[in-house]
Amino acid sequence: MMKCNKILLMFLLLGMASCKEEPADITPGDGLAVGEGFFVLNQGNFTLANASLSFYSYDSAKMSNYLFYKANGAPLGDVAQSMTLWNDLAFIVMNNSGLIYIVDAQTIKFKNKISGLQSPRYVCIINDHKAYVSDLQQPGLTIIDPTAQSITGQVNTGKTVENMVLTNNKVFAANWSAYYQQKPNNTLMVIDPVLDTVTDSVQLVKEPNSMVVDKNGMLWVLCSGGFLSEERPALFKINTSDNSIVNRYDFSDQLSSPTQLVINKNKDSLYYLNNGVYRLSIDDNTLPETPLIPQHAHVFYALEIDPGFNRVVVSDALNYVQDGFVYRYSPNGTLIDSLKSGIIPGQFIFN
Amino acid sequence: MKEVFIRHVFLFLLGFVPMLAEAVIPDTVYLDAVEVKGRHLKKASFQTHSLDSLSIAAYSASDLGSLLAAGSNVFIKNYGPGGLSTASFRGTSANQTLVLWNDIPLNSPNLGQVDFSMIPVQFVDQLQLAWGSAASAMRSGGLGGVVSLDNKPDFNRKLILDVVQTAGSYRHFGSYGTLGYSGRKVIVKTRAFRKSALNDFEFLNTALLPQAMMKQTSADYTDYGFLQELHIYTGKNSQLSAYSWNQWNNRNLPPIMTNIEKGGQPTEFQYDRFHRHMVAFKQFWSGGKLEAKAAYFTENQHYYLKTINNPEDNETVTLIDSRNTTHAFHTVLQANHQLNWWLELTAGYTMDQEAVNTTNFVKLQKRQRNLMKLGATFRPLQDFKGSVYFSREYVDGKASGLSPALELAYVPFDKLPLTIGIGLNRNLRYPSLNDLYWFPGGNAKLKPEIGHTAELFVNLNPQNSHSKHKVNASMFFSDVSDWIQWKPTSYRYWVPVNIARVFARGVELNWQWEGDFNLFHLQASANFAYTRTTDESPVAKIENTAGKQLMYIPRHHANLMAQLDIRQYYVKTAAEFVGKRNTSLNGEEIFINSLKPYVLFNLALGKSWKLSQGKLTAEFQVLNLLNSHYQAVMWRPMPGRNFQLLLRYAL
Repeated sequence: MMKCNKILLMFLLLGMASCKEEPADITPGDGLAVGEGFFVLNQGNFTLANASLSFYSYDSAKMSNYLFYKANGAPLGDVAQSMTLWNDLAFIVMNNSGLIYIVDAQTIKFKNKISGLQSPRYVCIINDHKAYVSDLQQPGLTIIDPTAQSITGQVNTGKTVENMVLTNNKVFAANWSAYYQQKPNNTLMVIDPVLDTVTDSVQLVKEPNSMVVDKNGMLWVLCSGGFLSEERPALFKINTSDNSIVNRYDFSDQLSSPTQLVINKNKDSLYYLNNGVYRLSIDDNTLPETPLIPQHAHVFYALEIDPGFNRVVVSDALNYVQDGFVYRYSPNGTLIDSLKSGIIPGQFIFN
Repeated sequence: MKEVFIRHVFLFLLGFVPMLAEAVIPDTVYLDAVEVKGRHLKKASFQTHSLDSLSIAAYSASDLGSLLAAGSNVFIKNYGPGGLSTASFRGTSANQTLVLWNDIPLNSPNLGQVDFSMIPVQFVDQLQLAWGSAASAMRSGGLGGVVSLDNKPDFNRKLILDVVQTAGSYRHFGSYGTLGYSGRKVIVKTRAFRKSALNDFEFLNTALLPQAMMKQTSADYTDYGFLQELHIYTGKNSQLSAYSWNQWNNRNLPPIMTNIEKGGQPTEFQYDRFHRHMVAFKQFWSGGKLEAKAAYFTENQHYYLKTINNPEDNETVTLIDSRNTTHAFHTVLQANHQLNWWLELTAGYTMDQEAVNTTNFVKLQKRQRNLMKLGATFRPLQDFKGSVYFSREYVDGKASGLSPALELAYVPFDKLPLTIGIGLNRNLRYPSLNDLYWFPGGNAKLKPEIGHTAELFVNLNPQNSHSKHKVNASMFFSDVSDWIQWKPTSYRYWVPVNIARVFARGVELNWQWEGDFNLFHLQASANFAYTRTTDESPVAKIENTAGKQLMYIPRHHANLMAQLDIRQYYVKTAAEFVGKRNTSLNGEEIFINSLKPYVLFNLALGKSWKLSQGKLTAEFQVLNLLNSHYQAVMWRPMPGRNFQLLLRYAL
């Protein structure tokens, strides 16, 4: 009987010890001071809400992880899709949480949020009072006021939109997704950001996934060919004045899935991932056959070119359930260092 | 007599009184209804663990997941009240837990696992847990262990009537009832239940800024079903049984805490219907018996997700309408015979035919599994026993290797009720049909997972005139190679591969105690498990995850159940401690990488009244008495302190 009472008491004490609110292991401070460097937005796993934000500081040459939680005492949310810097703010799009967190870009302290979105993907800032938010499920764009930080309207596109680029007073919007819709996902829409209407549509190849604008004002669009590799992947060069296709580069392997098209600071060299990091000049007529940086055993996931030093920054998602790595390479592909970030490092944002 | 029988059958046919059930722990527990298998050197072939009648009675108005969490070393991963509940033994996965109902597997052919929230304890008479050699000797597939549920006919109890009604916080209502007649040669019994809850409990949402108190939404459920049984003595030594288990489970699926403000007014639910029919025949003779069983199971699962553009035009934005139908036909033949005083032989054959039709496969997929086993238990000495089984499985005609299981047990002292033993075995688990045929990504070339287990155990059963104890301690080592994991590919979808090699090892303790002290009667049981489970494959070493505890497997797990009876009053408690669980393979100690330990403590007070016919019991329960804020699964809120009232009438 006595022993039994002791055991009960033990359980009682353990229970009282566990009654604290969760999470309680970090008390949010007055904020951080990230300085110069680049952010790494770690997507996290779908429905596990383990997304996070990291920052690589040029001063310390170190990666700081879990910044959002450390600054705010709450998780970032479920699938961090993208982050856009604007003025002193960062708009962090939480895809499966259906909201955009707006935080101070230096301290990462929570400022506001825009919620009620279905499956937001990217933010394209038009001006101080207008920005478009694309959505994986909703066939249109949500218009928000980045200053008032509220939803102000919709753009009817008829199908879902992924990446967007504002150039030449037009918004080019890629129809990437075949999820949740039957309409073709092989087009590039042209939207008038004043009238908020679709003015043109250019047919490409399935899954236009990323876009950049070069020094000549040409728009480059990389298409991966479809989720089940239904079409041969291709890179398109588009004239933004008349929306015409200037050139098309077909990939030889239909089963490949090129992604993450980025451009250097001078806007004359393109980079993308395709089981390795590839580079080509905007004046090349053919796609490169050998990678600048072979993938080896890595799982390359996100890519960017450091605008300050033209270094290649690429992430490794490893097995997708543990913290990934960020590798920095010199412009000629020599490894400089590797840094641990969060689960599925999906985007680099340079401040 | 005949009139009485007809009257009772008539009453039965009149139908069913909504009843209820759980948790009454009556002051009389029908110990005779529980056959404790194992632990006696001279009887069972392999060591198993049977949950005592106290535990089963205490949770008779609850689901099997809740019972196992409170009264065993099985770890239950629960997504919230009414939500998915899966079980894992000794550091293995939910798919490696085999669930048998009267020797027929309940594991879904396409998913490979069982939702324990859908098994009412009321439908179970006898619950047996087996692992290691015992699990291997039962069937293939239970690399972690086997949960064996049995219905035991109990003849000559005349009219059977047992009704329970529960009502509690968050609009919880449960009705459970058993009505039937048990004669000398025939038993007709119907068990039925209906339970529902709105589950709109309040919780502090720490996962969304700004943090605020919120109410859980879209977590309501309604489950109902019935189990019909018929048992007939067809001769002096033969018995025929028929079972029909039919159930309807409807649950809405709530968003996780970070996703509560998502737009589109999502409607997300899952409906599960299943119908399980079985006939069983037993023939006894001096020193042996033959059992033959045939069963047909069909299950329908409907998952639905819809979001709309806005409430005004109600235009659909997202629509997923996924339907799966499975059909399975099972046959079991098994016989055992005591050849002489020291040798007993066993032989068995099982056939499982599975077919799955789902929108997630390219076409209808079928599979046939045949398993043959042969075993012997020998007792050359009074204080020594050994059992050895061999089984071989054929899947679609292709043979697996031989799976042996061995257990040796010895009683070293005359005056000390101590048994020591060792078990060794090899076991296989075939991939689920989803692993093989899911589109895209299913891998038809998957091999079965292969488990090797070694176990040492010690049993001690001291007793005196006032009390009796049962203490079991075991140490296990389990090596599972070709462990199936879904991995990302360059094609962007995930593909299952035989990649991991998982090493699980640990210690388990179980203690049961019962004693009488003047007016008091105390009954208690406690469990503790320490489990280390790590992936030691070459890939894990490359990925730097080797040596890290696998996700959602606590190193420490303990529970305690106790009931004190004082005349017609009783008080009972149940406590569960769940240690830290990793939620990723990262080593950094931060909130998203692990869930904190927690303790749940439940308390109930009750009183029984003996009536001229039957007994009435009333019970008041406080669940989560300490009001612990905890998460069993990351970002799934759980209710704080809540209450339940229970009334029971039983003949």
